[in-house]
Amino acid sequence: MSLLSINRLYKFFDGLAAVNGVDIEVERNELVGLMGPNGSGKTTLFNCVTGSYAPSKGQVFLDGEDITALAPHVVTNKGISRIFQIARVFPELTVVENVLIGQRHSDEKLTQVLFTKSSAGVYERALQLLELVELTKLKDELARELSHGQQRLLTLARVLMQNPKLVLLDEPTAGVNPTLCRSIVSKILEVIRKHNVTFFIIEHNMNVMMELAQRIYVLFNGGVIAEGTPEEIQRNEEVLEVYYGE
Amino acid sequence: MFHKIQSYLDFLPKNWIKYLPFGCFLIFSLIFPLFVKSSFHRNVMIFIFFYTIMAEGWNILGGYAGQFSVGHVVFFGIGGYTSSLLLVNWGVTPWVGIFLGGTVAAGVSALIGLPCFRLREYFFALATIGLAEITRISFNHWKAIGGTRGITLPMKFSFYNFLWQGRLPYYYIFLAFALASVIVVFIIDRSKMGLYLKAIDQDQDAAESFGINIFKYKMIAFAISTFITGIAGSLYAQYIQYIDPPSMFPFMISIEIIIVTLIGGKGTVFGPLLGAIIFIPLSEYPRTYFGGLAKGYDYIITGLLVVLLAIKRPEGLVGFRRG
Amino acid sequence: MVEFQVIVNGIIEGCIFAIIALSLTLIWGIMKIVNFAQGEYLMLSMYLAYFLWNFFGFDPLFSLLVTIPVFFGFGYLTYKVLIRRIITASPFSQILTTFGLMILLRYIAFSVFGPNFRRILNPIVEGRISVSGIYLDTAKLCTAIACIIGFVALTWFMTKTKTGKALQTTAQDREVALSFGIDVEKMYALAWGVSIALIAMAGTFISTFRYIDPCLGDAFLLLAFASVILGGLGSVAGALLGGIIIGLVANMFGFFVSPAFKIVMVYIIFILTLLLKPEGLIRE
Repeated sequence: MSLLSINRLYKFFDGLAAVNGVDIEVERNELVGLMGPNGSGKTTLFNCVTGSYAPSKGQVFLDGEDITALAPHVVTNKGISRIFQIARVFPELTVVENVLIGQRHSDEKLTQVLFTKSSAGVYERALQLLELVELTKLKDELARELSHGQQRLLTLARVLMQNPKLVLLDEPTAGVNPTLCRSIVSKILEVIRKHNVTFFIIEHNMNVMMELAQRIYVLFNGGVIAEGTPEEIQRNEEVLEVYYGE
Repeated sequence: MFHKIQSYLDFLPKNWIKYLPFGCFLIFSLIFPLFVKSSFHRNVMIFIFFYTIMAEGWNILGGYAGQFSVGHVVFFGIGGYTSSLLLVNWGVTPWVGIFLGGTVAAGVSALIGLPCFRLREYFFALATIGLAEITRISFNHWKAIGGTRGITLPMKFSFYNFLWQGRLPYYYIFLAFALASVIVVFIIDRSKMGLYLKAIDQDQDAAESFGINIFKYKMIAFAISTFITGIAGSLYAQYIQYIDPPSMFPFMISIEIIIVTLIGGKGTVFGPLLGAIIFIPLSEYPRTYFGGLAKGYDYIITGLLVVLLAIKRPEGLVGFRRG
Repeated sequence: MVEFQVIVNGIIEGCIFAIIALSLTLIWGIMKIVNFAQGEYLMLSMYLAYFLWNFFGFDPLFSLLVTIPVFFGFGYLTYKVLIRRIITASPFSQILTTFGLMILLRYIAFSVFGPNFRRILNPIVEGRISVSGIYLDTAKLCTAIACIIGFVALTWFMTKTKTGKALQTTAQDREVALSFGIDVEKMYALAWGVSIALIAMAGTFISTFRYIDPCLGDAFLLLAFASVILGGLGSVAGALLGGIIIGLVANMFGFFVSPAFKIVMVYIIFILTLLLKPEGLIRE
């Protein structure tokens, strides 16, 4: 059974189909890529998976469980995490506090929430993750003081805190210099090696996709026009036309 | 087990120097009545305590959770009416009535929060203004609880009745409540919930995507906030010993609470206290010294303060200092 | 028939709320700021009309020639001195600023003019006319007509003149306007000027039939807010529609139920609109 199963998903806005009948499967521990020109519906698709949008038609399954149109925080608690394209850190919280936000929320009692800063072991885990992304020295700095690249790494650590089954990554290397790009890519690969996480990535950079993805779906005008390994996609004529033909 | 103790200890402030000014003010307040006998000045201090309570209360919702309520006076009034009615009609001691007043206020907040939390910024503020005015007008016409005639508390001074002739008992009791409200905000600030509220305030959508149940935490913040405000209302009723809609639901109080919080800094533990210390003397002293000549001068100062604050330093004097 | 009378009164009053709503929506549409102090400008313009009458004997109709330009300047000035500093601030700072402005203006008026009511006596437009059994207060009628003229004038200005179109572009998208070489700062100041000028026009007319006191801003502002939210923030037609509906509701409730609950009803509609349809009835 696939980890993530998107079945015949549609999303209409005022009659226009942003997502037009999409079927996607993501297996456990895979890294699947999602490509497509701007406006092809990639982000909307992600939004439908996380529950920010309710799909107009179709279903989303996580590990066999129907999670279609559940509220975002519920979807998160079920194991799907998301990293946004623009690093959305909490500017006035410290780096370590940002990571602490990721701790498990579904079974917290009021007394726990009121009287403790963090449950047992959680703080240590936060520090571990900060080490992974090499931000340990900055842990008590306010997040808004960090550089752009550091903020991105922070969002990665934050998301891992949630122990997600599936991570949705929205263009992780967009607008990023090559050194940082390498760093991010290697961190992602390290995470995949060490932790039991599956990734679903939107990415334009073909080189990055080649290195990371095992399989790629290509979206155009809301529909899937190609699916396959990176090599297959690179040779696919329809894809080439969509990207370079216009 | 050790971890549990550890995490509770995590709580205690690491650098206590930050708390020195607060400690000084506390000591100052405690010995103030020994040196100053004038009831006018004592009244000013009492009002500082009052506004501290209300501002800290508002701060939980408006400063931490970021939900800007401009009609908080509603809860003030509800608290005051509840405890007074309980005292006058059923002889319930205000010592209990105060907390019941707070509870009723918190209950009402649940009703309001339910539909209104989906509104953002401007719209939520507008809705709270509307609700506050509806309540005030309704109370004006509610004959069963006095309508415009109001309720006069019995002149039976006693501990049970929470009524005293002089100001001194009020002084220390209100001081205690003010201290308690600061402590409550302190606890919230350092807790997990405080963390979540700050996250909600800074980026609600991101917080939600992290599994934080926005609605639940806003409701809790709202409830605690209104509970405290309701208590303040009850205390006020006991102090002035007569209540009617204009005195229990004055619109300006809603604004003043916000101003006080903002001067000091919303979303901080000591901001509201600092704001009260600055604002109250500024508005009380001119009011009396200018006498009848200067009607509304104190409000002009208020207005000016607000505008300057909004332009120059919206984070308040304490700013985002992590206290 | 009494019902007709109430309905007509409602429409007439509604037009008045509508013009104030229009001035609010103008500022919101152009720069996404809600001016809580709008009611105070109304109040001040009425005081100006009063003093022009009291000291110089000017009838409000003639005072228009003074009040409108003066308040255009006042609005323009308000922008230049105050508002431009908070254009990019958080909504929180913006709310605070206009609130502070409201308090400031109101209590300055309170201190300077005192709390006593003033009244302009025997204006040219006073009186009543009767149209098939329905009484129309001439002063109110003229006010309503002036408001409609105001609407038409503004719409003509916005759609037919170059400046007006520039204003519209600025409202749509500030960046786009800048790229067209439009002086956005000037547009914002202009918007404030026009908005307050409209208020002054309304206020001058209202002073012919209503007493003047420092706190009148409250009542009108609330009704204008309700109109603007109901009609849709940012929509000109919405302001008119919203205003008329609120006017009708207020008058019908005031008459058929009770005067006190008139205001409560308006508030209730206000809150319901916020909850159920915050974009209002008409979208811009």
